[in-house]
Amino acid sequence: MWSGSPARVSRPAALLLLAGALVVVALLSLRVGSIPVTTADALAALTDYDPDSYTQTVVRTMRLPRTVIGLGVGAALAVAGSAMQAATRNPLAEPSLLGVNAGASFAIVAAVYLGHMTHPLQYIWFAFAGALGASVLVYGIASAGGGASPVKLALAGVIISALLGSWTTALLLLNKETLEVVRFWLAGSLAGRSLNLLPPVVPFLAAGLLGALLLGRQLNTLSLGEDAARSLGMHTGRMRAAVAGLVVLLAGSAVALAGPVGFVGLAVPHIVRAWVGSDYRWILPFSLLLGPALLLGADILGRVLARPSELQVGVVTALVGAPFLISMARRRRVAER
Amino acid sequence: MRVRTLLAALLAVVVLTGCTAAPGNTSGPAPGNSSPAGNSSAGSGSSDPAAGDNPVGNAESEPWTFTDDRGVTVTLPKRPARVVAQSTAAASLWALGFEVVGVFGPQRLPDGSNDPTIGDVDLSRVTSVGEEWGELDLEKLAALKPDLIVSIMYVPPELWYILPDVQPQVEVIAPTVGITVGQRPIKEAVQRFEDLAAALGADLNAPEVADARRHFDEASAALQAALAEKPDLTVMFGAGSLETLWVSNPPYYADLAYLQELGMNIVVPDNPEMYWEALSWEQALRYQADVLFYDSRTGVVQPPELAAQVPTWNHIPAVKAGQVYPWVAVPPYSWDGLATILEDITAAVKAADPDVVR
Amino acid sequence: MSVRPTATGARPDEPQAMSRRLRLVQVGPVAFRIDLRMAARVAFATAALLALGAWGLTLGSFRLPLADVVRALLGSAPADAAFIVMGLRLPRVLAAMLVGPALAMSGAIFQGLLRNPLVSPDVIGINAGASVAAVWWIISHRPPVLLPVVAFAGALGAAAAVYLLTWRGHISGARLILVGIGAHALLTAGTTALIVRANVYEAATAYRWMTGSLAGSDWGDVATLAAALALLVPAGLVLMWPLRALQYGDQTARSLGLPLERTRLALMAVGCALSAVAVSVAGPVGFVAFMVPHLARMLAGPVGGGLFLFTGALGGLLLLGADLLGQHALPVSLPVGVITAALGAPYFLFLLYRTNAQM
Repeated sequence: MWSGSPARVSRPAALLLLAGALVVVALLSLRVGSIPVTTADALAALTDYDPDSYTQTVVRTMRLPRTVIGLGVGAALAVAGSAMQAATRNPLAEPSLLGVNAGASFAIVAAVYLGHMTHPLQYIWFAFAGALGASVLVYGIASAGGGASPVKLALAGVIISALLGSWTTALLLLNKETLEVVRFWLAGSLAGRSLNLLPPVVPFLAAGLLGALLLGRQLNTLSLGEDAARSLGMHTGRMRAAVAGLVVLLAGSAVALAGPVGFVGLAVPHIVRAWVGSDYRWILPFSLLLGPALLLGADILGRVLARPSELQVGVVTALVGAPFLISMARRRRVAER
Repeated sequence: MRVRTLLAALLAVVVLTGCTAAPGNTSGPAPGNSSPAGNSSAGSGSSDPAAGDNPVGNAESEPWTFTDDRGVTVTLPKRPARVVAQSTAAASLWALGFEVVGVFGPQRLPDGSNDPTIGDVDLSRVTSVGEEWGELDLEKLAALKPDLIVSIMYVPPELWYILPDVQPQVEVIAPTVGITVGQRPIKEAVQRFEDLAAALGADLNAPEVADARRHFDEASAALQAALAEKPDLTVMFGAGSLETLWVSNPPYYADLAYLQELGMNIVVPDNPEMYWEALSWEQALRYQADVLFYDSRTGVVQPPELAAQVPTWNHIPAVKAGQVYPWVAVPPYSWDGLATILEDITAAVKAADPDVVR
Repeated sequence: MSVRPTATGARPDEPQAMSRRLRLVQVGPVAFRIDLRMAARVAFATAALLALGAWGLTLGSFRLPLADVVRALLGSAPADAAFIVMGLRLPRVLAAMLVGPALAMSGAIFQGLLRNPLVSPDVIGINAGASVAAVWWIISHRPPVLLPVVAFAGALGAAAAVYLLTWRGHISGARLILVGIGAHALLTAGTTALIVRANVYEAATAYRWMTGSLAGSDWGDVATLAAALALLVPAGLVLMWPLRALQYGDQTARSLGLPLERTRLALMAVGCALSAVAVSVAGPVGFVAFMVPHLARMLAGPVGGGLFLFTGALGGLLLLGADLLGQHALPVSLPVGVITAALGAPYFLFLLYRTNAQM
């Protein structure tokens, strides 16, 4: 673990800077994309929307929703990842380890296969239910026989994910039409999402974020390890269950909105820890801001790089984030003990 | 010690089976024919490459040969009677009067009726050896004792619905024939099926076949005339999802290539990846045409939903003008089926305003 | 933030290992300690594997009585039966019996080497390297004959890249896992980008390959696998002792006179090669490399040569059983990769459910 922060800038100031950066990225996300839009048009689309203007239509009905959704998804994934890594004390931990992505993917593939659904608004609840079901299963199995130890939790998560993944594949191989509909969803994308996806998800998302932010101190204790946490009087089993519940809310919301976007939940906590040290009271708010900044940045890149087509944000986060993670693993003494 | 015995046993198994496999492979070509096994990709070295174009050896005693679109010449001791074919090929041969014994590829819709791909093949009279992509049952195929296996090719030399990993074994069961249907006008493809059907002994002069052919020629002439009346009409073919708009690349589609031949001005995307160019919906106005033919298959998101979910869809000129028509993106390779499609297109062309995009 | 070194795979000698009945066997100048109980387990698992394989030869939609199968094996069956047995069933059964052990042993090596029970070649980039190369090859319609070679090259290329990126004077297990995960994510994203660009048939072919399938296994595949295993299994066995020493920690291993980095490199090389050859033939069949070593340890105790062989035999059993199930037990045939997880996972979950929280 990195001791102390390389504090040239104080943490509150850094947090403010990061917030400013996030605002800039969000505005860029409205301004930059597959077709050129003038700043005037981009602003007019927000303040004085003219549906007959093509560029304003693009900004208002396509870029605005994906930006707003990207903010929520990025925050949810990054905060969930931080909480997971603290609670399991494993640098490999990320939300999908609870089976969230696999559960949502399977539920959606099943819904498309059996119910011939084609639209996100139809299958958003399936995604949520799948995420919830899978994670309850993972947690239930891992905590049977006396508490969910990190290793058992992770093992159960990997296994349930593999199991659901195999069922998903079976459905996809049995039915090309399903494959045709969901292979884009499975890549993880913000494109084609409209704002009416948000209302059903926002309560869960907000509850998850708020809950996680309030648990900073407890996560600090938990990240000291089982014995240390117990000796400090913490009921570790209950605390892990609470964290798992929050992670499910967050990751379930994210996957329901954008599909299985990997890597944000894994990489952001590592980046933040390298930046601000190991205090979760700081790691969580930094993650909350860095997650969406990274996700929106990746989304913008995906729109620009593959013009006139688009690269799915799930693909870009990995393509951009992975080299970063690798170089960080090389530079720092990450988890070397 | 255990290791050694295990390895010895393993090696013994390999050596043993290697020896027995050799005779197994050469005598393998399924019962009933003694063709040169499984080397068709090397070409069976016929001295008469043009033979396939004409039904040679109708007499039962003479050897039968056919040269397919890969340039592979199949030579058999007599005319094949038991043919297993991929759905599209089976439908085409069936319509030309040749009945296959087995099929693989799409067969039934969820409601139990024939999938459009398999046309009028009577499924109660043929054996299925696999329906889904990659589900070819080699043992069932071998049990059918086919003389010949026919499939189509979009990207030669890849046989449709025979995945590369099983192709060597399929070639051992019976020689294969591939008819190219992509990247060539559809009329040529159907003519190649006529060649094959004739070689297999079908009577192309039978009244039904001749009528269908006449039907197709008339429909082609009618469309050509309608297009000639509107020289400025531009047309785009495509499909979409909630995230992507695909603009079709005409040369790769047999039907579009033929429509171009008849004089249709079809939009050609600038940077297609073979079959299409994928566009972000922000780019919906990148290519413009008076008329949009839109992929009508059930798995594809259809215009009413696009209108509701994708705001830029409604800005497309052809959509604004109400000139969006269904496109049968996987056409049948039969004269009658094609004639019907051409008639529908003709009606759309006649009704269309050619000045939506100037 | 810590990788827990004491989790499942990493517990060297348990007290009860001492009480096992060990026998010293001397062959020329070399002496072995043979754990009789482990030997019995290996023998039992191997026998079960062979029996399952024999049964598998009688299954299929082409009905063949047992007598015909035997005659086909002896070379005296009619042509059609001979083709079904010798041309289709036997190579597939043998391929399963060889791919399973290769994957399982590879997993055992990696889990031991990296001292992390969540590791397998699936997650540190090796399979992802094979997949991205193979999917690119498939959807760009290049000659299918070379697909295994391309997949093999992709797997080894990814492994080499991960190794070199991890190297900083020495190889750290935790760093290798992180680099491996990064490489996995990168390569998987590449695969996804390719699949999203492809048409649905190309995507379906790619998915099928990535699921792992034994359809189309032929004698060439069997020969490749057998030759590779003949080389790699003894190498793996020889490396089991150093692997065990490594698990006591670097200090201990060094004090035993072990050249640490060379040993790790050798273990990596053998583990990668085992995985790569299996993947090149059958595609990245998931779960076997991850799960079987756990199963073997749960059933049979600590790391060692006997356990290594037992792991291999279990891997063969799982893969062959899964392939037979996928082919014959269901109304539609499914590739083996779908079944390995569906079949193995519940049993593993059951074991996990029963273990107490101490692991």
